[in-house]
Amino acid sequence: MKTLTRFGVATAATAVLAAGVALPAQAQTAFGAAATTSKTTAAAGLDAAKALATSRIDGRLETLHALQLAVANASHLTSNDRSTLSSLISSDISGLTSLRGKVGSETTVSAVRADETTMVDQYRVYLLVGPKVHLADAFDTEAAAESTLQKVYDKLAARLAKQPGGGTATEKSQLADLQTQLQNAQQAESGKVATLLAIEPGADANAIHDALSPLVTAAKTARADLRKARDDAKALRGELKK
Amino acid sequence: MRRATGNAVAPVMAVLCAVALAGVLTGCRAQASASQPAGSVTSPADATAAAVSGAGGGAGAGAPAATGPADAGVDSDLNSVDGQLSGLDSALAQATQSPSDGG
Repeated sequence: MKTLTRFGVATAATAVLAAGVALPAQAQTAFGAAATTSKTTAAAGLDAAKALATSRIDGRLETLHALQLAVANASHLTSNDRSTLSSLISSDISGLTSLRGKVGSETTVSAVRADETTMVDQYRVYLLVGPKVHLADAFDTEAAAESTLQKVYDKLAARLAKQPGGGTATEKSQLADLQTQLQNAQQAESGKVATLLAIEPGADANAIHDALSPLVTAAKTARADLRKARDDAKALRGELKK
Repeated sequence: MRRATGNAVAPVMAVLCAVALAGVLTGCRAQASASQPAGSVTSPADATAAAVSGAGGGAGAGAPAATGPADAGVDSDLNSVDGQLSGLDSALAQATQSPSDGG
C-alpha cells in the first residue's frame, strides 16, 4: 500500500512539474506570435504608405513630362515664357524624382506622410504648374491673334479709305468696332503672363486659386474681345466683296 | 448673147462675194475669241475693271468683287486668326481643369 501511495505521489509531482514547465513555454510561444504579427502589420503599413506616396509622385512626374511636351509644342509661346516654363518643369521633375527616392528609404509611416505633404505643397503640379503652362500659352496665343488682327485692320482700313466717302456707314462702324475690340483684348491680357509666372507654390491652396482666378477671367475676356474683332473683320470683308 | 449672160451672172457673183466676205469675218472673230485665255475679259470696259481689281484696289466705282493679292492676304490672315482662336479655346479648357490628388 505504501509503495502504491509513493508511486501516486511521484506521478502527481511529475505531472505538476511537467505542467509547470510546459505552460510557460506555451505562453511564451503565444506572445512571440503576437509580437511577430504586430511587427508584420507595421511593416505592411509602411510598405503600403510608401507605395501610395510613390504612386502619387509618379502621377505628378507623368503630368510634368506631358507639360514639358506641351511647352515644346506650343507654337505661340514667347521664347522667354518657354524658357521660364521649361526651367520650372525641369526643376520640379528633378525635385520630385529625389523625393521619390527619399520615400523609398523612409522607415516610418509618419515620415512618408511628411514627404507627401512636401510633394503637394512645394510643387503644386496640378493646382499651379499645369495652369501656368496652359494659361501662358493662352495669353501668348491671344497676343499673336491680336498681332494678326491688327494686320487685318490695317489692310481693311487701307481698302476702305479708297472707297468713295471712305466706305458706307456700316463699313466704317465695323472697322471702328474691330479696332475697339482689339484694344480691349490687349488691355485684358497685357502683363498677365508675368503675374502668372510669379505665383509661387505653397501650403495655402486657396491663396493659389485666388491668384489664378482673375487671370483666367482676363484670358476669357480677351478671347471674347478677339472673337468680336474677328467677326467684325469678317463682316467688313464680306461687305467689301459685294 | 454675151451681154445677156453677163447680166445674168453679175447678181449671182455679187451674192457669192457677200457670203464669202461674211464667212471670212465670222472666222476671224471666232479665232480671236478662241485665242484668249478662259475667263479673260473681252471688252475694253471689262479690261479696265479687271486692271483696277488686279491692282488690289477694287476701290473704283462699280468695281467687281476683289480677288487681288491684298484680298487674299486678308483672307489668309483671317484663317490664321481662326486657327489661333481655336488653339486658345483648347489652352483655356486645359487651364481650367479641376486639380486632382490634393493639388
